[in-house]
Amino acid sequence: MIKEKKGSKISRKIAILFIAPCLIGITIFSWYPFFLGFLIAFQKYSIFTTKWVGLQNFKNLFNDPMFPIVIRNTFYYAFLSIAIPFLIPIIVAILLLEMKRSVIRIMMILWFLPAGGMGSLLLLKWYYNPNYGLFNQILNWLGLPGLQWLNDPRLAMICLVLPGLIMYGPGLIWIATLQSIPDELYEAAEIEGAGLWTKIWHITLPRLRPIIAVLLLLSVIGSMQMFSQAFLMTGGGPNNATRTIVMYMYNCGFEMLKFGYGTAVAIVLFIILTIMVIIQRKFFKENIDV
Amino acid sequence: MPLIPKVGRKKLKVRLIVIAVTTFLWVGVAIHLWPFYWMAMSSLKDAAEAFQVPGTLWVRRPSLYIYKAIWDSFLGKASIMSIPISPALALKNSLIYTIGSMSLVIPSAAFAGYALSKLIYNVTWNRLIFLYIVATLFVPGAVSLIPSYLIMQNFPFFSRNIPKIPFTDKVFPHINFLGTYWVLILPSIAGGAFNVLLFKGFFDGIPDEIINAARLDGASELSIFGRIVLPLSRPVFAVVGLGAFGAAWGNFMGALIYLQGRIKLYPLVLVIAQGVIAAQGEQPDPQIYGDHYVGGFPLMMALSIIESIPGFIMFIIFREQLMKGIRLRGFK
Repeated sequence: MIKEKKGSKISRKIAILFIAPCLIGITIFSWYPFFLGFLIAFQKYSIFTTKWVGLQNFKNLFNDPMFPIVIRNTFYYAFLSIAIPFLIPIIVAILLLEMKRSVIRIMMILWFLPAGGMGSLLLLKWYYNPNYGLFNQILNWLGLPGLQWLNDPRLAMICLVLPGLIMYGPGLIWIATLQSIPDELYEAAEIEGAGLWTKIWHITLPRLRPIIAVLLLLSVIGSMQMFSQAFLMTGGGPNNATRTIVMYMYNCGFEMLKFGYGTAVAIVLFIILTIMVIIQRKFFKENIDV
Repeated sequence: MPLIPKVGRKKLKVRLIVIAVTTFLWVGVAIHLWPFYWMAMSSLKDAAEAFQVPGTLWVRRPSLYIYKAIWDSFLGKASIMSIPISPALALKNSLIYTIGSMSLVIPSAAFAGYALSKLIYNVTWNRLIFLYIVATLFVPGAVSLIPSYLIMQNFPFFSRNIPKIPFTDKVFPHINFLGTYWVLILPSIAGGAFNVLLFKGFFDGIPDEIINAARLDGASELSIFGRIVLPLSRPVFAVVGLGAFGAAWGNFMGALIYLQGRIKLYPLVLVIAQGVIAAQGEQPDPQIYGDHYVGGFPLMMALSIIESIPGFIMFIIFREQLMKGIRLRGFK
């Protein structure tokens, strides 16, 4: 396509027209606020005053007793959500392709049916209720003592991971990647006498690796910014056990209206994530093309 | 069926593995659909049955009183006092946000993906623009949340002191988007880096020869896009469309931040979200409210059902394309 020189003048104008809406949008609504964040974090920015205070916000942040708690909670949630809602869809996708074609089709339709949404968070909150929730009813029925679920600081974060698990399904991307592996590879391995695990380890996983690298990164970035579940189901409690960085940013910025301080919280998150991205890039050197 | 060998399927061990895998997958499907089932059941229960412990799996006295109350409020005959905004208005708001933002996201991302895949020949520029877009994926949105909110107040300035146009007393023109529908619609013009990636990946799979042949015939770029590329790439439009729908319809955080206190602009998802925050598990006293009290848990369940209907419709429209998109062997 690079050889095609003829008519490149017209084509350039058209190319600019095609790319312009996206570039303008990304500039105004992604990069501009992002860089403004670095300006606002160095200001005392509330309803009435705007004052440049240098590193004061960050100094206050590191003396804030809440800060280590929210950092710890954020890492804990990210760890849990990588361990469960990230890995299970991969396993499900690998297993799903073992089914008959017709079964795959029905299951995919049922899995992609958008079931739940906001309502399922409400339902789960209801199920977690220690007095009349479904989960304690099941435990009682099994003869076990009921748990405090969302009211138990040790259990609350694990409870918040569950919505991600219920929403799980084999992601479109996993299925598509798995289908792109030629069957001949498996047949050849079979003739060589390879077992189930050998095939998964030497054929399936290497093919999934580049996609895993990208989605793992995005999933870490996403889960480090968890907000909705905690905000809706626990409000950060009990005893701040589920208050994450983004939630603390919301508390400082939009509830206490300390916009500068809130942005400083977010920038610390950005620095943590950048370090993690660099480390992750060191381990997975694949291209970022999906 | 690549992993489990075709030849040895009759062996007991292999058979057991197949049964175990099948059961596991069907249980997964059941768990996935369970919330929807329970929502549908709860929305048909009257107050007494909805709060019964243990809950009933199948509704004993099905009654449509909640849906009737919602319908009445749609017609304007009666209003529901337990939520701050009428369900009809919330639904209308949701539709405005969703349709508005989808009609910006999809063209913007598709055009950008097409330009990166077929129009920008200069390798350096192509790479630079690609990175400029994709890098937004790796930047946490949390950093720009507060600045975005401030920008929306005096767009495109972020502070309250708007600079004056040099040599005059007038300030630069600025718009306050807070309190309008635009605040949730306009940012969609960025298209989303992930959508651009999906489009670019798909268009890369369309051979250049087809497009060059059309160019030699004198077709304009826009008509090539509309007449050749578009019909070939329905699956990727379905995938992105469904994603864009889900993102806009369920945009809880954006609504929470930008629409603070502006009740008339609340989308359905925010109304339900407030129900989630309020839910503490207390049963409304039937002595006070009566058995057919429209509020609390059963009302929220009915609203959740209504909230999920457009998703179902979208899914049914796009189903075939989506399945084709899956069969299309990857996005590379």
